[in-house]
Amino acid sequence: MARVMLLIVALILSGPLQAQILVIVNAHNPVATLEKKQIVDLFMGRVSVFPNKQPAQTLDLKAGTPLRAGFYKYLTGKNEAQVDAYWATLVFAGRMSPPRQVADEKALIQEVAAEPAAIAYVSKQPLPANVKVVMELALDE
Amino acid sequence: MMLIDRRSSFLLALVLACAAPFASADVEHRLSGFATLGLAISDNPELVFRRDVTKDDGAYEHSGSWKSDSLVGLQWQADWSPEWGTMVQLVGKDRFDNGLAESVEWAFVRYRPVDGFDLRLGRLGADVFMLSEYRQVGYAIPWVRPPHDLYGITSLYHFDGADISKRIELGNAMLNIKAFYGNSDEEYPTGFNDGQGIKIDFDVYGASTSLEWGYWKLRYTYARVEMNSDHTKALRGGLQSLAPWWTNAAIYSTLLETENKEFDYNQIGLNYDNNDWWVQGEYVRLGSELTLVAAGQHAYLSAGKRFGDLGIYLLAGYAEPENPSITVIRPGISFSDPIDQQIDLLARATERTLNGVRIKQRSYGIGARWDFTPKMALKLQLEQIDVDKTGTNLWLRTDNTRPVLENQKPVVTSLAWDVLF
Repeated sequence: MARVMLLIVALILSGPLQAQILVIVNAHNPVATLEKKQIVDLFMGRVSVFPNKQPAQTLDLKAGTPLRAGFYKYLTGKNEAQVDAYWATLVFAGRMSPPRQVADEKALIQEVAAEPAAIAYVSKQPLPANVKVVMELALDE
Repeated sequence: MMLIDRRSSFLLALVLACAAPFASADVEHRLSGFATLGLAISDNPELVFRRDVTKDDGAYEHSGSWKSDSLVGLQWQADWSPEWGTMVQLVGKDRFDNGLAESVEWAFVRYRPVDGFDLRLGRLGADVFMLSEYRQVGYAIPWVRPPHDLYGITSLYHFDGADISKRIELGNAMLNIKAFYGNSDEEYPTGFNDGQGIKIDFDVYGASTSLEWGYWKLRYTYARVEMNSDHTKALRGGLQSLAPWWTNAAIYSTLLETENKEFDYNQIGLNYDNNDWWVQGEYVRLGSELTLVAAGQHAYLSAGKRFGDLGIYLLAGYAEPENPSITVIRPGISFSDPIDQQIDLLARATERTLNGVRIKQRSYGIGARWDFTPKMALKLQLEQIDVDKTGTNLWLRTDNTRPVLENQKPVVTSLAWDVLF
């Protein structure tokens, strides 16, 4: 009985499960790692280039995808509706082009593999050699 | 009524000409849009609620208006290279002057030699107030419509010209500086709910600066408008012809001049949003050399809290004219008809013209927004607006033949369904 109690306590203390998100770029991209602020700047339309001034093409999942909601919540604290409202203020004022939305993670990886300027996010998974990880995020589920 | 005028054809030709050299597979084309289906209901028998002074119709007592807030916007954006981009946005809504040319809200070519520096040429949204650039995108704002006491005065949606903007990183803060210059030439309703309009031609220039850091955003804008057109010629001619009998007529005639007269805006805005609570306030001081553009102060303050997909907010605002209303003084002695009749007629027309532009009101409101599904929101908003009888210009009169003799307190109930696509 005491063992079971201990096990329960241990499970409670071990905390929530963590989902891992990988931020990926093309393998030929000279950028090795990015900080959280740099990723926020790219995905929130504050900058349109990588830190080395090379043009960046942000890729995004369709609205309503759990991974997308988790990614933006982690980066900005905003829920999807707030993110979409924020982007609407930039897009319809002609200030910035929004991240291009792609159907699923598989398509995201293919696009990043084919496009030297691309940057995207996917859940943790084995990746082909022609893309590389520039940041790993751990989300509480 | 031409379907498309020379200026709009030129703008579209400019956009396409810049696009032509880049016709390649690498070009990013995006189509997007926004729409609002809105219903505004007002309970006042004397005054007709309208969204802003560009509207010639609105919500009457016992009859809600779908036309006040409903609109649909379509946008085509193309990035031809990292440096060159074009954008065209059409907005279909109830306009005083409805045509394809008027529905072109934006049509510009953008040149970005380095990230953080943009030069744009073409038709540009006026960026004078905090929400100006996206005030028609219901989904992007917390309320059913931008606050009436301040945004009701905005007749300027876009101009044809250029703007230049620079982003400067200051540690964790971001500073944006922008300068703009352009011309506008559009028809507006007279505000007397009679289907009459005036074509107003003006030049506008100004600069804005905004600072964003953490949850805060602070913004200051200065803009100046110069009128190129004369809108009171007939009335002034009448007054001048009566000058031998009526000495004050010449003074009123001068007061009514519009050509080469200027007015300006000083705007300051503050926004705080920690994703849970938000506060936004804005203040505009309108200075004016024209009596036909009433100098005054306009402000609002709004605060809200979000509970997941549901948000509630409070809103208060005011509009206060700079100058007292004018009483036209007739000559002390009476003349034989028809001189007396003419003086009386012109004195009333002058008074109506000079005082008709005044805006004096206070408003208090409460509302809610529900983001019930991705890219769609429903809103409900209730406001009581205390309108002074000497400052009703944000409203139309139900009956134009009678002046408003008492202060009014309309309650406006608004519903909106906002969509992005």
